[in-house]
Amino acid sequence: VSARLPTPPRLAEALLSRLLPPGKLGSAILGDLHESYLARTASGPSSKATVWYWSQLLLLGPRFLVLRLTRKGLYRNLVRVHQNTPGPRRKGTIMNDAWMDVRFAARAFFEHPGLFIPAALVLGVGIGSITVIFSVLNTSVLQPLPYDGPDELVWLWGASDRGETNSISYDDLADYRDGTSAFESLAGFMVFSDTRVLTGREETEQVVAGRVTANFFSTLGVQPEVGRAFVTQEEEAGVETVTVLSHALWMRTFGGDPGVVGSVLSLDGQPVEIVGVMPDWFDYPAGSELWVPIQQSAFYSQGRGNNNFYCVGRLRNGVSIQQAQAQTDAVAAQIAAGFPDVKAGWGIRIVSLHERLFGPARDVLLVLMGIVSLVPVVACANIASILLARASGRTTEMASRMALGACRVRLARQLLTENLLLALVGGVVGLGLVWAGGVALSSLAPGALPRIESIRIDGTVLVFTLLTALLMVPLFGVLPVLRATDVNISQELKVGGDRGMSGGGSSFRSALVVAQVALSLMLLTASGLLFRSYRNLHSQDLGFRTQGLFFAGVDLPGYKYDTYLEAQADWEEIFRRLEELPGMETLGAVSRPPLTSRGPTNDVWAAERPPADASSRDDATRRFVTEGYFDVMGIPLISGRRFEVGDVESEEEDPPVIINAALARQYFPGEDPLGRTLVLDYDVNRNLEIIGVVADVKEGDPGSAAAPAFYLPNRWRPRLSMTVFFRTTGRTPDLTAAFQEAVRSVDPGIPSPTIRTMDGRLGERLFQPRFRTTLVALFSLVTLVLSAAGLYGVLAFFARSRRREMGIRLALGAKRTRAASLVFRRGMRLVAVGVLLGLAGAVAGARLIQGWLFGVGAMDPFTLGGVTFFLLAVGSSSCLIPSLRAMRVNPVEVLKEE
Amino acid sequence: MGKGIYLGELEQMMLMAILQLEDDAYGLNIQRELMERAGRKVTPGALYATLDRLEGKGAVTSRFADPAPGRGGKPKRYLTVTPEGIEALQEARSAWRSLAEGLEGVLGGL
Repeated sequence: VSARLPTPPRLAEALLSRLLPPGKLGSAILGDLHESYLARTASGPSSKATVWYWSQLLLLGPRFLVLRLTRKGLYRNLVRVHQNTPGPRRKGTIMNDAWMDVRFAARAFFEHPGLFIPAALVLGVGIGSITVIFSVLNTSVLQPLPYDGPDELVWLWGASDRGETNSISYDDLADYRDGTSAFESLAGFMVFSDTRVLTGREETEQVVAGRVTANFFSTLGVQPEVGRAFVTQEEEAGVETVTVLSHALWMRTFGGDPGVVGSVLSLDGQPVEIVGVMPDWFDYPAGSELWVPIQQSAFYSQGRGNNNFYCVGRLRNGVSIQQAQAQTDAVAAQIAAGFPDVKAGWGIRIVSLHERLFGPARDVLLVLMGIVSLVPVVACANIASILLARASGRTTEMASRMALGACRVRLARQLLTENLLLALVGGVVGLGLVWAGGVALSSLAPGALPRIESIRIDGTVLVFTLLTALLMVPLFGVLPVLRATDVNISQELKVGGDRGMSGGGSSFRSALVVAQVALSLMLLTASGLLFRSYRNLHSQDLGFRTQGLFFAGVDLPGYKYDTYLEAQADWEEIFRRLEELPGMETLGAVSRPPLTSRGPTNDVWAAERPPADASSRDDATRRFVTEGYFDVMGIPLISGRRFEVGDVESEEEDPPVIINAALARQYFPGEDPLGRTLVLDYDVNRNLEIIGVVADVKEGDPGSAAAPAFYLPNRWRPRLSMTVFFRTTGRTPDLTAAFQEAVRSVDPGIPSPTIRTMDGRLGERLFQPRFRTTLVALFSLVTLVLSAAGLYGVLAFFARSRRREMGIRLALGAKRTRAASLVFRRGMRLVAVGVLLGLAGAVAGARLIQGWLFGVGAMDPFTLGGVTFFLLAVGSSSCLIPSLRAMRVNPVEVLKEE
Repeated sequence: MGKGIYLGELEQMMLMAILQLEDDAYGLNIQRELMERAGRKVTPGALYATLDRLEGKGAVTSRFADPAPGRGGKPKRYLTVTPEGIEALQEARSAWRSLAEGLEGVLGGL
């Protein structure tokens, strides 16, 4: 009938209908407005009528809103009177009912704070714990790279048939650049950033120089904020004459002066012109304080075997990684054919730059998320248990309402609304925890994960929180709702409230307790295993003694020396002065300290077993050491002898070598390596006589197995940069000032060294495992508390509902201890079932963290046993109080109540 | 004025408008009636608030008619003045009259 009639603006009408009184009372007003609106459209332009309609919203809305909020008695009466008038269902009813549900739910909240506040907190902990991990994931991993066209950026690994990855040589880089069309540009930077000495400013300073190809910045799509980037000629010039400064160095040494471009710095004694300054966020390769172009003519950029470069590329528009891969494969085949001695079996594997930079952190976080996702599940079980108890208590209420004509769906919906509201409040609590957790993580664990300091709550995190909260509603809400509305009306009304407590609800609750115990056990097992791994890592044999060991990096101003002899003279002078310091006990130096990295490495082989080709060559860690090194470190000598002063006379002869046990095992299995010859692929193939075997030292990651390593005397080819280790006599006096003074008295061009302890260094290296162990332990404690509380709740409830039975039993002469043990046994049965299920789950889930374990198996009986025992202990103490309470039941009182 | 219902000015006018409209007294019509007969413009807020108040006082009762066309399927709330309402009106009128007695010179003839 009314098809042609205009209708009032929908939105305004919908808003009004929310604000007006529910039911016919409001509906009649809407009708009036509708009619009036039609009259106005008939007599004038409809736009005017629309404006009028909206103005009615403004006129009527606030008044009814105030009435509604203040709930004036008169108004409420009217609403009630008209609500009860039966009438046909109308469209607006569902929304009106929903609104009412929300208000009822809110009222239930306020009327039972003792129930809902803990529930909201538990939910908040559940939501917060998973979201905090997600927000870290979101900030540190999911964000795109900060470069232009981030999706086009790729990383080129040198990759072997055997699945190893490596850097590539400069010549390889040039071949891939020239032999492919998939890349818009292909840039490289040197694996090891270089330390340069910056002089000519007030302070002689050590700066970290990133050595990059000229097209490095343009490939990443980053423009300097001042000046320009490098041009191709500067890479070819052969002499390093230009540099680009980092923002930090620019601010520090030039006070951010934009006129700095064109001025000249002294870098390792060479004049270098500043051509540009990078923006402050740019930090790649990480830690670079300035960048210099690599030189094609330099030693490090020559030779196929010199795999000194990491390679970053930008794909041409529309080219996929697979297409680029196909092209590099073709070039790699040519290279392998041309240089079989070093490149056989080696090719290129292309991954996105994002994957290369954030893939590892992402994997860690995903595993953490997998573990932590148990927390919200436990929280759900916990709340479901609370709500089930409430549902049982509410059966009388529900029965009365059904008797008065409320339908089951309507009641269920109202309960679900309560749960929804609970979830939302929990979400807010969770967000608070995420915020606090973010602050805590970024201040307590800087550097633990990429970009962790900028962790924040953004739209993605909000959506995640909301989804988690909504997902939890069915998990914790469905059982209680079904339970609450599944009432036998006449039965419930006849018997009265307190009997409705046993039966189905309590067996559901028991199942929930079992689930909580099982999940807690899984989490506890994970944290137990991680803790054991951490302990193992921390207390493992590193091959040297960290305790009381100090170290400091010393860099000679390399540009001063024309020959190795000159550098050696300075080193000797430095060591002599250091040894004379009061309190100095032992001293030694090494080209690269333990716990740093496995590299640099060289290919080596036993002279009598030369490798057939490149793919059968193996490399070993190379270290230059002074005579006192093994002594000061406490590295045990297994056989042979240490280096002595007269071991090597000139830089041209082949020096003796000391190998570690791992190298001896791999290259001389079952043989005595002493006196044998080890061939080293260095500047030329060197034949080194093995004079000693020392114990394995963890050169890189403390968690990885010791790799083969060999030690050369520093006298042979003195390094310009050494790490000096020393131990002091008696209590540890602060040698810092004296140490720096002694070193710099040899040459003021040596930057002031910083002294640190090896224990501190080990702590830094173990930061990651400590971080995740702490995190998992924290969350497992949360679940433990939740499940202990859940267990307590169920048992207390059980004991209460059996009070009458207990009373009668006691009255009939049963022993009090029997009453207690009835409750206790019931509780422990739940714990035992939970533990069994949890053990099964822990064993199944342990694979997830296999990669993080060190020196302990995923099914470590000690951990599993310990955790089981711990949980049984916590479980039995949870059962204790309700059991004791059952024992103290007074039969006279109970029977009187009847 | 006794124990009955006290009526404000707008309430009196509205009751009379309802009576005038006989069995067609619903919100919109009452508003129109007030405008046409008394030149009194009433905002919807005041209109419904007053009707609710009158009903709360027991001066009127409402009855909802079936949803009508031309109203978006919404019902009409028809108002009827209760005997108490009429009594209150009568009381108000007699109070008015006794106060106005002797004021013909000022107010003009009644």
